[in-house]
Amino acid sequence: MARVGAGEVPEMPVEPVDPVPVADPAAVARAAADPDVALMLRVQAGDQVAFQELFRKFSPRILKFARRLVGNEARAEEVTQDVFVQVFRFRDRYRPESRLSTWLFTITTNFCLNELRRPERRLRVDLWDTRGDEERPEGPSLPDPYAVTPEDGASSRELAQQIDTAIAALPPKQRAAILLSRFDGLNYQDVAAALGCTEGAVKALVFRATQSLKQTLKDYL
Amino acid sequence: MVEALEATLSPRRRRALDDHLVRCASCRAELAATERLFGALDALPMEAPVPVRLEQATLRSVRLLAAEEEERRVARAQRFPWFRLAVPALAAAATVAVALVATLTSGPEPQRTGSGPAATAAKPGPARVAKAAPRSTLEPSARVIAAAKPSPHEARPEVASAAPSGLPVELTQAPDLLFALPMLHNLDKLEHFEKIQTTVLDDDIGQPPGDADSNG
Repeated sequence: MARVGAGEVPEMPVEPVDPVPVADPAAVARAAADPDVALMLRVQAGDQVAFQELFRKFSPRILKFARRLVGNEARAEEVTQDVFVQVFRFRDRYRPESRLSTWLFTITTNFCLNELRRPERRLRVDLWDTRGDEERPEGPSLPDPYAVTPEDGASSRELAQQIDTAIAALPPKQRAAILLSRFDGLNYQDVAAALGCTEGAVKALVFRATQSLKQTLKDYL
Repeated sequence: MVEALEATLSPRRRRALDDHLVRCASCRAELAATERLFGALDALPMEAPVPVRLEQATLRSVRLLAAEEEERRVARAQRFPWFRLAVPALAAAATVAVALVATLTSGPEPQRTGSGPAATAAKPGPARVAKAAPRSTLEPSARVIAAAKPSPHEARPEVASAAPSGLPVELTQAPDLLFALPMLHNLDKLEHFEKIQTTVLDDDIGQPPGDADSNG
């Protein structure tokens, strides 16, 4: 099976695009009834109060998603800020036919993947990566100070920490695919649009991510 | 199995998987592990508290961006009226230029049988000027002078009426001025010649009178 690694694709476009254009007027009408779409339409009209509402509604999810994807708190905050500035800059490109959260997570994913490809991060990866694993071009995650052994028991909080650690160890595109499909509930078509690959490639990414997570977390599941 | 858990498997493949799971304990365990993993993933917190400074920094950036957009919009709006005024002006100028060129470049019409005043009036201006000063027999500068000073036998009112209104009198009377490019080249030569002459004169003037006498 052909691998789809992070280094095999060009720089992700951070200018948002409409992921799934729908020409059906009924779909447009349904979307207009969506409060998120209505909020974004106000932002498109230049309403900065609406933009503040948009930020307060979506930034916690975007920040959490970015933190899991880039694996760094400070970078996740930078990405979150960049995402919302970009949303405002290109607000006219949003089309009400698509879900607003899908549009936002697509932009966030592209920013995060670009962040993971930055040269300074590659340098750090080279210093940390002692196994020469091509499957993990971003390198292993930093040591988790809260790591617990199976013998300590697996409370829900501990399990969450272990899962976060296991997710951070995945290759970036596998990580993005599993996060987009599980956390935001994007279908494979939308994930493919966000990652700039085919739907089949997304299925392969999710499958490999699932297998890796099961292997890593076998003592906790 | 992932597709089965996400309910994206087609009914036919779902039935095939179910049939296989009945017979295969390993795949049943695999499916159960995948289901537990997805349950754990779905139970993870999906939101993180956003620091106040992040919100403030983002909103400040957006306010600056909005201000820049507004400045650009105002600048465009200020440029646009000038453009709107310039369009009719350019259109009018282009119309005058086209009319002028059409008038000046139209060649002599075929010889008409009539030779009365009406036929003479219908002829365009350049043909009449060329008749007054044939190009083949005169130097360019002389042709310009001849064109600028036509013979008194020319029918001036008729030429003026054929040209568009609003033109300078010199152009109306001698349209060849616009196209006498050799004249421009000769003007360069004339200027060069005048400079030489001027230099000589300056040297003569700058020379002390005594020197001139001593040389002589």
